[in-house]
Amino acid sequence: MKTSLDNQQLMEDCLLGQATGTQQALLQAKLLLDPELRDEVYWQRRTYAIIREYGRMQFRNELDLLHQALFAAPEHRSFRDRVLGFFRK
Amino acid sequence: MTKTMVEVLYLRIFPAVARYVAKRGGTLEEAKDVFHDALLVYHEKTFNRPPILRLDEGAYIFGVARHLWIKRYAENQRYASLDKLIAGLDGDSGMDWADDPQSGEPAPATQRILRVLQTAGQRCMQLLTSFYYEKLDMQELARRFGFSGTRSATVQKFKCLEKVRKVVKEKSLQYEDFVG
Repeated sequence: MKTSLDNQQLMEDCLLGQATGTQQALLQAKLLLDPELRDEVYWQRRTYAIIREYGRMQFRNELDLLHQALFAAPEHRSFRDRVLGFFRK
Repeated sequence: MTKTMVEVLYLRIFPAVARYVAKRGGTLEEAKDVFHDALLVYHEKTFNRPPILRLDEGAYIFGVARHLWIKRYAENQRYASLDKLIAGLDGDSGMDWADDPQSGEPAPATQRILRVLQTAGQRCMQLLTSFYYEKLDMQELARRFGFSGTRSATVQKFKCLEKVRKVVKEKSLQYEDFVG
């Protein structure tokens, strides 16, 4: 089912904690009447969690690239030697 | 946080984390793992407010990295989620809106979905992470993605959300069928 923009905004405001009491009551009423909307709320929450994981994955990838670059760059040799020195037995 | 800021923090704080981990018999990979997650925790704290590089940022990031190393490697909670490990660390309850209703499910399902989205819906995911993860406001979002105004950015954001929600649902159910 294609959700209307108004419904999407309402659902989002409620799920992100930005809704007024009236808006929350309105969504509760819609949920009681519409099982499909209940399903959508569930998957919307799951999607927000996935979006956050995606953002985290991107940031971790950037950090991995930076780590590789810092350990390879001649100008950061003293940094690299210092760090590797801690792990030498 | 800009790339330059991240690099400054990396050069300044990583040696201290590496030294701490090495002294306790840990590896360079473990030091990198907890340091990256500590930077991520700090990065998420700086959303919506400009980060200022100060000495206590270093102490904060080092403290989170140390906490994570103890939990993951000394107490052997390697597979606990980052959110679980940092819950209550500084009175921050985290991002409730992103509480995953399927947080108990095996991580491979999430990994599979992320891989699909990486290849099939990159532009939508860039837009959605900019708004929901980085917390850009609609004006900044419209500027970054070249929309004529906040209205068209909002419409596109919801179109993307609906598209991604569909993928998440389909792939989650497919995976349930596969493992069930």
